[in-house]
Amino acid sequence: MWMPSMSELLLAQRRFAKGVIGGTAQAADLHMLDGDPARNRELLAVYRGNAVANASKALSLTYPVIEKIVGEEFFSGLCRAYWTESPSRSGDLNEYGEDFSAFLAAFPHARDMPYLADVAQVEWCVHHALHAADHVAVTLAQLGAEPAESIGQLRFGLQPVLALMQSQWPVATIWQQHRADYAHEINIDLNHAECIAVHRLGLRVEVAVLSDAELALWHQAQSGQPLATMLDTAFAIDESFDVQAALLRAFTREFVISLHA
Amino acid sequence: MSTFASLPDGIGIGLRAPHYAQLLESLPSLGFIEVHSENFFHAGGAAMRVLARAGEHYPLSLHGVGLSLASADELAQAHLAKLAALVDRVEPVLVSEHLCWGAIDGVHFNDLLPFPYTREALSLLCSRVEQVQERLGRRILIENLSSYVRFRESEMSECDFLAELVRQSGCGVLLDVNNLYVNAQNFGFDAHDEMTRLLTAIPAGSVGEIHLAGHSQGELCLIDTHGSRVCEAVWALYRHAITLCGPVPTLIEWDTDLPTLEVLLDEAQSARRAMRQARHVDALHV
Repeated sequence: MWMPSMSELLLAQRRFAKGVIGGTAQAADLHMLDGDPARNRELLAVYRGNAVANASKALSLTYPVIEKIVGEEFFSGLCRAYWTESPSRSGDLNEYGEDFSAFLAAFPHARDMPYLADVAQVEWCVHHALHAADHVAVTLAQLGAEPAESIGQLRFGLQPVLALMQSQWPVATIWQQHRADYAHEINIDLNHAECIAVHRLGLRVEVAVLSDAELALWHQAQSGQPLATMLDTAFAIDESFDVQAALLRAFTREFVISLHA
Repeated sequence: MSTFASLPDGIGIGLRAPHYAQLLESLPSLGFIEVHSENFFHAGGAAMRVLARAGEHYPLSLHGVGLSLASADELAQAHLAKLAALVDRVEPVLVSEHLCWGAIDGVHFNDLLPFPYTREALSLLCSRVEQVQERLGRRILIENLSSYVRFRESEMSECDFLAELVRQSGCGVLLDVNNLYVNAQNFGFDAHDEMTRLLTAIPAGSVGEIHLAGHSQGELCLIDTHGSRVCEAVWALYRHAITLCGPVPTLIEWDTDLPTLEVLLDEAQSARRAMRQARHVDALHV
């Protein structure tokens, strides 16, 4: 039977990890390695460099907008600091970086960019949505075919990855204007809030701007409320709420994947 | 336990995002396509669709980098479950992992790390490989590692360790010729001799795949960067390998500074040529 508590392997791996994580390998730790201890210390630094580079590459793939906003050099510093505080906990690097947003919110050297945390949250939702299960959307025609007398009791099943957010910053605009394929000059008025939805459109992921009333509408749907309650909530926020236009936008964006009487 | 799925002898390349469209449009003649398993652990999305399409045209090989088989931590069952689901989904002809660890006390370095080659580690590895083979319902290939340090406690060489693992667990070998070359240079042993030792110590047919890649010269040692063409010394070692173990599916592995698809196909052509020459030499000896 394998018993880690008695293991020399465990000891060797802990010593190796100490040398890689903090560069804090002591003489006793380095003694486990063949050859010159000073050279081995430097070789452990090569492994440290690999680990940081692998984590940074994963963060760069998941957070390209953050990287574009702060620049490559600052981003690589961010990655090192984040890795030191929150190293990877999975053999799958696609899972790395979930709390990057919280880290950015608390990072002292990014205080003059207070919107970064919210942008990072959008990017995490985008990353998650990119790899989620494919769906088949319900069409507006299918909704129209429901019996009119009971339509108020209808509940909407939504894309599981649909993420609704309210930010004090224009996060959707920031995200859209920092995409690799954005060809225009960046022009962002930071002084306005945005309600947004991160959603799949076929195989693509989109970040859409919603009105306050639309956000409330789909929040209600997400919590399982029927259409009548969804609409009551939207009208309470905006008495001139345009139901038809809002539903058309949402169905075009493939928010709804099932209808439940 | 099923035996190796049969893979047509041939040369493969990795499936990389910048090449997706061109590869699927031009469908060059290749023996197989290889991907890192972890990049396809998702439920869906565009990349998954590409893999499915590639699978309609080529045999697929799943190459894992994150199972951390040699870690003193418990085997990550969630990771293994995702691998099993992917194997069920894409029905690969080959499934491989590394002779390494990557995590301890829950912290992952997402790197392929060396460990002391002891009898203790061997018994752990055997039980791990058996668990994985049991879970996947098939034999897997284990790849020899490139490393920059060696442990004093090692009781045998990496190749002897791998040969013993093959004999005890019934796994196959993914022979990374470049890794063996890098280690030989870094630690000062003869790569040809070590390869001969390994290939004569394991049952015939144990080598299920070969990896070829480029490396670079670091300040302290050779670094296994997978970011350049295969060097002449590695080609020579490759010819030695296929002379000893016959034609084996061979991957041109290229992970950093990704070149155009044409460069990869050109390297694949060189490998094809080397394999033909080795067959020819083999025929002369008969």
